[in-house]
Amino acid sequence: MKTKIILLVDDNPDDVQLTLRALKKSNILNEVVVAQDGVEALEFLFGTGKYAGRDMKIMPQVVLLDLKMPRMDGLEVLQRIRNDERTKLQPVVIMTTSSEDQDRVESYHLGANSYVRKPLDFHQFAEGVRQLGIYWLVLNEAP
Amino acid sequence: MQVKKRLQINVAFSIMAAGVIIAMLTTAVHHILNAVETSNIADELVSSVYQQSEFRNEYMWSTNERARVQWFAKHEKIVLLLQSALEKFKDAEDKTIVERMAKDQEPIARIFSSIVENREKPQLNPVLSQEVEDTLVSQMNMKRDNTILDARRLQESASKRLLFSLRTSGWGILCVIITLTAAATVNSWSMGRVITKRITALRNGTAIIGEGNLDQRIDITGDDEFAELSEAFNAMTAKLRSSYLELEKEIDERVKVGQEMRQMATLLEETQSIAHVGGWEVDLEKNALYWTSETYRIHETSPSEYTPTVETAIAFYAPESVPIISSAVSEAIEQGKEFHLELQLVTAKGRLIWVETAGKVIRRDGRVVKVLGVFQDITDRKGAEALRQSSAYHRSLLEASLDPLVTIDANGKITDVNAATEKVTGRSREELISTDFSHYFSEPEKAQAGYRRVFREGQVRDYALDIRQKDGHLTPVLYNASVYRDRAGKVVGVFAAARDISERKKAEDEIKKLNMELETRVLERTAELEAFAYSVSHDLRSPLRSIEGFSLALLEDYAGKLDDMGKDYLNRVRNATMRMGHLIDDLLKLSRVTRIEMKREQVDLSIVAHRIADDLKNRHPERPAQFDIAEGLTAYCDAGLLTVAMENMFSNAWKFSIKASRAVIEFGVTEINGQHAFFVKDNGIGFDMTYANKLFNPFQRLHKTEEFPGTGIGLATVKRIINRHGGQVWIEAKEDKGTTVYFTL
Repeated sequence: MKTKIILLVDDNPDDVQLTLRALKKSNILNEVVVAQDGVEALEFLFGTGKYAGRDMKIMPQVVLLDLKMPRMDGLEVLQRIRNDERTKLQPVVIMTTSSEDQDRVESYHLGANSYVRKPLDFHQFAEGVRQLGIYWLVLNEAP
Repeated sequence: MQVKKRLQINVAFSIMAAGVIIAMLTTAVHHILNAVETSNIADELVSSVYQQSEFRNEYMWSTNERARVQWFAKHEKIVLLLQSALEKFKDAEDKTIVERMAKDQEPIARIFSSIVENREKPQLNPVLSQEVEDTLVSQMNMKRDNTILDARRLQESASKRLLFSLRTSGWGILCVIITLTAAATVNSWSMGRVITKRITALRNGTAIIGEGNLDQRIDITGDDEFAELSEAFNAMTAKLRSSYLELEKEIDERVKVGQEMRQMATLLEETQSIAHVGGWEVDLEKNALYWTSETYRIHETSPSEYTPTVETAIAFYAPESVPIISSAVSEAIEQGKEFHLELQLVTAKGRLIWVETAGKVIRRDGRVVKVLGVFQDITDRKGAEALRQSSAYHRSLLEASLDPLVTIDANGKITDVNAATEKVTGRSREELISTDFSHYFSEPEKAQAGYRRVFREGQVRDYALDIRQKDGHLTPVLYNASVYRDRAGKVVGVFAAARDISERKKAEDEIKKLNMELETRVLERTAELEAFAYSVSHDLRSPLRSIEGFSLALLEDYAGKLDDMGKDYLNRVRNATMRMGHLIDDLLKLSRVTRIEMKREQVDLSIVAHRIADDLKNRHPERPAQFDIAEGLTAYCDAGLLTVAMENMFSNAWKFSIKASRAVIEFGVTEINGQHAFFVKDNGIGFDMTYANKLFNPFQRLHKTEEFPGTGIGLATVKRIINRHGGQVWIEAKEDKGTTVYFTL
């Protein structure tokens, strides 16, 4: 069985924690790889730097990508993902606090598969995560 | 035929006749004479023959020597007579007779001679002698009888001839006379007729012409004197006519000239009278002074009352003026010096007036023969001079004005300008006056439109125009213009004053520039603010989420380890974070409302209201609520912003009517102070109007959060949105009766 992993890219540790908790609460027990910024995320996806030498056969089922990050902002990461043959078809879900229209539009422009806002209310957030998880991990068939 | 000819014919006839008559007479006379002569001869012959016979008898009786001699004398006479008769008697017959007679004489003579011989020789046989004598005598008697017969025949013939001659002559003359007379009569008569006819024609023709119809021509043709006469008449008539026409023309000319002269004279009179300028003339040769009617008028007298002379005229002047005018006139007469004086004069009615008199001289052959000039009452002018001093004062004021002043007549031509106008147009007074005023503006049509408006409305204020200087440089000005009237109240033109607003314009332009800079800066600030708001909201939310999330995590995962107080604290924490989240959201929304670019369009507010209402109902299906939404309410506004505003208003209405058994929320339009105002009305809790004006401040609330959750930003947002649309928003409420939010757009 192919290992279904989730790549979570978020610079906010609190958010990471909460997301993980939400996933757990939703009984999504897949492995979650956490990248703390865009660079790390790309390193993982391309098997460079920190993740050099990893098993490249294992690619995330879905990438949960935050937008506002240091070093490399989420949209740029998305761009890089889309620009590389290896990761061009990688499902990416933008998960962000931003409610700005331009972010949303730009994300889709750059090829995001989905755009989800992190709600303030944790319940909502957890519910959202659960739905995301079920959809992307179970329902959706990866390329 | 010419009359002359006719007359000549007559004369010829007469001469001819006379000639004929004379000839005839002569012939007649001749014939008569001849006849008489022949008659005489015949008579003589007869008598001679008888006498001869007597003598024979006598001889026979007395054998008288004397008788024989006389007989032979007679014989000679008879022969002579017969000779002359032969000459005289022209007629052949007569001539024959005469010749016979003549022939017979010889025999007669011989016979007598024989007789004589016989007698002389008586001796022989007396009887025989007697017989011979008898035979001879009988022969002689026979011959004598023949002769007498012949002589009587001759006599007869002669007298017949005479009678014939007489008669012929008589008749002939008569005939000639008659013929002549007839001819003469006929000729005369026909001549007379022709002459009469022609004379009549001539007379009629000339009569018509005489009456003045110079176009009439006498129509007599022919080649006689009348025709010539009529031709001459016609020629004369034609000549007369042309002379007449010329005369007429000349007369017309003269009349016209006369009229013109009369017109001129009248005009002169009138102009003199209007201008109150009189004339005068001193004729030195005639020693007379002439005045025109105006001069009389100025002196307040008339030609019937006064005849001007130089001395008496000078006497009119005031005492102090008399020597001046006297010497002026004298110098003019003597030296030909012209004069021009202003003097005082006392009129015939005793009025003291100022007059101006000017004189010049007319010379002939170097001598002054006339002095003439003009005469004017200048009392007004003298008075006007005083006025002019004040006028000069007014004028100096106009010239001193810094504002360009101009007067324009009813035809759009400049009639006067002051120095400031000259300066601002860069043109001199002379260049400007009588020219079209609109010429000096950069927008002539606009200038003319303003000018027309002044006439229409009586005045125009602050009319902006640009004056164009000669070098092309423009000066922006504001015009205050009004119509000005003459003393009769009739509008004469436009008086306009310009205010140079170049400084002001410059200041305005500065302001505009500054405003634009300000705008840009504002935009920059806004952009900065946007970025700020965005990042703030984003950055604030993040920790907020953490707080919320972990509080919940605590509550859920460590519920066992917490007592009620602990749980309570955590719940408060959570609530607080929720509130903060709302605040951040509202702040963001408010800031977006201010930032966002408005796009106005026709929006159906009723549909928006319906959508909001449906959304509310969907989200809270358990609440009984009634929405009364008026249909078809449209407004020209930004759809997004109005939606936000209405969401706020509706959510407020929804929130504050929660205590009502049944929330009734109304949306409609009403008329307030003549304006359309939309309203959102609820039957909720209402509030005390005393604090109404605070409601629109951000975060201002009139109710406790526990009772009615909310950040207090809703109405502030609504106010911002409505204000951005240039509208008004206000609120009315009654405690426990409900609230109505009114807004206009």
